[in-house]
Formats: sequence, structure tokens, C-alpha cells
Amino acid sequence: MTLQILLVEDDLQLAKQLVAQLSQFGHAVVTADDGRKALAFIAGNAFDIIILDWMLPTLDGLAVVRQLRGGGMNVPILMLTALGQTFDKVEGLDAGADDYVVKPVDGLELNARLNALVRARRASNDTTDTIGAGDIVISPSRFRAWRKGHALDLARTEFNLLFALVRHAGAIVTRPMLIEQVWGYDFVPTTNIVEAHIRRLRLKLTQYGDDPISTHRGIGYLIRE
Amino acid sequence: MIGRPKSLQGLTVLFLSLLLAVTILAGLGTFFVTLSTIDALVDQRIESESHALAPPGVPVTRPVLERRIEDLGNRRDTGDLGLLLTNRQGDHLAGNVALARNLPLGFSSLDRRDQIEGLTSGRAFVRDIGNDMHLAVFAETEPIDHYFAARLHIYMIAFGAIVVVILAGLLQFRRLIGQRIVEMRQTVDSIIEGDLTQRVPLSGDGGEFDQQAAAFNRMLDWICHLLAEMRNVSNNISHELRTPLAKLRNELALLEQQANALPIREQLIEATKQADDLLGMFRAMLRIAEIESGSRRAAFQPVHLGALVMEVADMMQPVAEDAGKRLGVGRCDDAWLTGDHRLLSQMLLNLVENGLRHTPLGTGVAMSVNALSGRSILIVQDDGPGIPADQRALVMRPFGRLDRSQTARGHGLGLPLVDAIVRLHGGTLTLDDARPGLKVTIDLPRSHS
Repeated sequence: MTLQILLVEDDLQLAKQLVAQLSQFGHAVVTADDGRKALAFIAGNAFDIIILDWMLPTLDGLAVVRQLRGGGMNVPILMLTALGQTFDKVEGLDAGADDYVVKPVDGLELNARLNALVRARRASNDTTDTIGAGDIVISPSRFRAWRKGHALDLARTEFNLLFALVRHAGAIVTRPMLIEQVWGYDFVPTTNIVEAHIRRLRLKLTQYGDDPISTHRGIGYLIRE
Repeated sequence: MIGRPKSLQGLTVLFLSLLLAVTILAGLGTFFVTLSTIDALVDQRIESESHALAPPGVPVTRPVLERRIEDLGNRRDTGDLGLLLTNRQGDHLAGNVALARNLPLGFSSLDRRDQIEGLTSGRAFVRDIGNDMHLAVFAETEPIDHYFAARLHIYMIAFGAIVVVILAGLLQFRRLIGQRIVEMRQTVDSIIEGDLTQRVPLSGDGGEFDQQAAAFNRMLDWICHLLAEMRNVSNNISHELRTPLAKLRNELALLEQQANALPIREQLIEATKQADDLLGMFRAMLRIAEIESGSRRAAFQPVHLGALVMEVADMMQPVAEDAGKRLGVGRCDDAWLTGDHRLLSQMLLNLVENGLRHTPLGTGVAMSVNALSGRSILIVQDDGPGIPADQRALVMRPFGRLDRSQTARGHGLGLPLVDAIVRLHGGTLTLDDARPGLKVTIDLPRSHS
């Protein structure tokens, strides 16, 4: 998926690195080095997603998020934060940011998150109660899931895992993303916990068909659309 | 033998006891010395008056003596004296006093029981002056009524005032020193807990206490400066190395996906794993630095320890099963503490991961929570090979792995990370022998929620 990205980052060296990395994945990246310029760019262009650094001159990241959301802008926003600013993250999400990545930024991880965010935003525009991927249907509000019409008997963790994959169907969901979204942790355990739970989820899904989840070794998992 | 006092309290009590004892002794001493001095002066007076009436060695007749007695009793300066002339049997011959008993020769004391009008306490001097006559001269030692009580009262007030002033001064002194010591200890306590911004308050008078506190604060500033420098250096190293390492790791992961990499796929997977281990090490280092900075304390919330143990057991169960091991939860009390849910999860996960990693197939790991008054005891134990007692301190140190030579997974930061989390929550961690296996005991303060 080629995305139109606005990168707002005042550290020019980091901005250059990120542009190079994101271009490798085929995205078109425009950069801005402060908050005011970013708002001006957004007013005049259509972006699929905005990458916003927390610390910016003139207008900081949080203020930019508030202005955009206050103005009714629905564009997905991913924030960059420095290590140890756990509470800033919470504040950023409260203000309307969709996700965050802790510096130093890992290109592969960043790309996966950008794709996932854009897909999730498109999916959430559907107003139905259920979301689906291929022959799998999930009702998040009722904590129920079906495959080819058969109800799946999933444990809570398995359900959350399936939900995280289906929400981003067609995009790779990385291990750190799953750890965050399913368990709510801000650290990556050393043993492959995700793998063990995915194995159990696969066993239940394959009762009614082939394996819809593909493993992207060293990166993450993808459920087909 | 009483030992030398070591505490401020002990010193105060000892000093006060000595002060009270000395003051009471001084008061009593002065009181009784005054009494005996008055007695001596009165004795001197009545002896000389007796000699004036009947000079020793000069014979005197009874009529002459009776006249002298009458004269003396009428004179202004000797009118207060009691005079009594008797024969040797004690029969009254002359004088202005009657006495119910016979007084012995020489000096003796008188009191109310002698029923002499106006006399509460006095002295008497009796001499044999020849011609079958005894001459007795009396004088009061307490010339004014209630003089004794009044003097006692005055002494009590004077010495009491001294005691009260010194007592008040001493208590104030003790309070002042005690307060300074408490302020310093509170500062030290918060610094130990990780709040390096605390300083000893200054009163602003520039006295010794202020100078001491200021010197202490300067020392803390310097320590903070050194710590910040150290943290900066290690954080920068971790950050700077992490970025290119992450890039390298991603190159490997992407390479592995390509079709033409198939012949070396296994090697690429192994290389990616090694890069992941290195990245994990940097993450752990940065995490320890974040924990030790104490910044996470600001968002502490009530955490249910029992629920947390169940949550981690639920998460790790499939991992344990896949590894052919057991994971169980024993006693799980209803215990709350104030802390960081994510860090506490990481602490438990690390311990369970450790237990599963270092134990052979078929063994198991068990967790339990034991609520005591004011504390919760969290135990994670396995029935694997354990850690020899002399090497337990080693594994608590960063990079302190047991089998450095072997290619065992893990970066040697697991237990130091757990220890940092425990310390952030005001707890302690101990390693023991579970016979067989390792028993990790974490003692955490309880909160009521």
C-alpha cells in the first residue's frame, strides 16, 4: 500500500533517515520541521497519515493533535516519543493520537504500524457492529467470533489476538503491536508469548478451513482480507 | 554499670536525672547548713549571756543573781531570752520561764513539746553555777512564726526555677537537634527511594545546622550531577547502538523473506535471533535506567497482586505447555499494592520466563501470593537445578550470568531488572534454595484498596 505521509520532525537528521526508510516501502513523504508549518501543510494537502514528533518548536505535537481533532480532522496520527515519556503517550492518546512509537524508530515496525493504522481507520468507517476478514466475522461488542458461520470458542486472549489481526486485515501486525494491543504491556517479553497464543488461535480457526494467518518471520503476523 | 548513652533521648534523660539530683542535693544542703549555722550562732549568744549573768569562777549569791535576771529580762536587747534559775533538783527559784522537764547540763534543743509560750524551736544552755544552783538560758532559733515553712517555700521556688529553666532549654535544644536530624533522614529516605530532587530544608540563619545542611545538599547536587552524566552516557550508547542494530536486524529479516535466500535461510534466522537478543539487552538497559530514574512513580495506582499473578499465569500457560513444563498458581491471597501495573507484570513475566528457561523438561514453576499484615509475600519458585548459594549475589548483578561460556539465551539483565522494579515499589528480593530449585521471594508493602 502506497501512503501519502506527512512527517513532522525538527531533528533533520532523523527526518532524513525516516524519509529514506519510508521511501523504501514505496510511500511518498513530505516533511515539516515545526508545528505551525505542519498545520499549514495539512490545510492545503490530503495525507493518509501524519507522523508527529512530540517535541517541536513553536507548537508542540500535543497542541497540533488538539488543533487537528478540534477542527474535525479525522486523519490518523502516529506520535514519536522519547524513551521514558510513558505518561506523555497516555496524554497523546487522550488528545486524539492513534498510536505512538518510541525513539529510536525501527523502520519496519513504523511501516507496519502506519499500514495498520490506515487500514483500521478505513475499517472503522463502516458503521456495522461487526468487522470481518475473509470468512471470519467478529463482534467486538459481544466478544463473539465466527468462521464460515460456525461460532468459535475462544479464550479472552485468543479473541483479543484475533480482533487485533482482523482489525488490520491485509497488513502485518508486529509482535510489539500485538503485545501492546492484546496485553497492554509497554515492553517486549523475551520468550515468544505471541507465537504460543497464535498457535492456539490457529488450532481453533483451522477447525473450519485452512490457516488464514501467515507468519512473517521476525516481523509479525497477517490475516488475509 | 550504666553504659554511656548513645541516643539523643538517652543523653537527655541522663542529663536531666543528674541535674535534678544535684539541684535537690544543693537545695537540701543549703537548707540544713543554714539551720546548723543559726543553731551555732544562737549557742554562742546564750553561752555568752550565761557567762555575763554568772561569770565562771566568780561565786555569786542567789539574791544578786535574781536581780541580774530581772534586769536582763527587762532590757531591750536581751528581752527575748528565756532565763531560768533552779536548784539541782530542778525546783524553780527565779526566771521568766517555767519548764516541765529537767534539762541536761550543756547545750540542748527545744521545740513545741516544751510548751514555752511563743517558742516553736530553740536552743538551751544549762550550767551549774555552784551554791546548789543551775542557770538555764534559752533563745529561739525561729524568731518569727512559720519561718521554717516560709524558708522551705523560698528554697523550692528558687531551685525549682533553676530546674524549670534548664529543663525547658534542654527540651528545646533536643527538639531543635531532633528536628534537624529528622529533616535530614527524610531527605535521605526519599533519595534512597529514587527521588533525587529532595534537599534538606535550610532555616536561613546561617548557623552550624544550616551550614551542615548546605554542605549535605551540595554533596547531593554533586551526586545527582554524576548520576545524570553516567545515565546520559549509557543512554546515549544504548540509543546510538540500537538504531543501527535495529536496521541490521531488519535487513536480515527482510532478506530472509526473499526467495533467493532459501539456501541460507536457517543461518539468517539464527542471525536475526542474535540481533534480537542484542536489542533485548539494550531494551533492558534502557528500561532499568528508566525505572531507576523513579519517573514512573508519578503514575502509581492500586494494583491487585493476586489478579496480576493470575493474568501472568494465563499469559504464560501456553508457553510453558509448548516447552513441556508445568506452570501453577498456589495460594493467591487478596492483596493490593500501590504500583505500576505494567512494570509489575514485567517483573512476574521475567521471573516465570527465567524459571521456564533454566529448568529441564517435565519440571515446573509455581507462583503464590501470601498477604501478611502490612506486607505481601510473592513467591516464584521452580524445581530445576537452582543457583548455588555462593553465586546468588552474582546473578543479581547486571550481566552476571552463571554459564557465560555456554550459548545459553538471555542477556544477564533479567534479575537486575526485576530487582529494580521491586526496589521502585519499596520491596526486597531474596533468592533461596527451594530444595530442589530456585525460590525467589519478593516482599512488597501492602496497601488497602
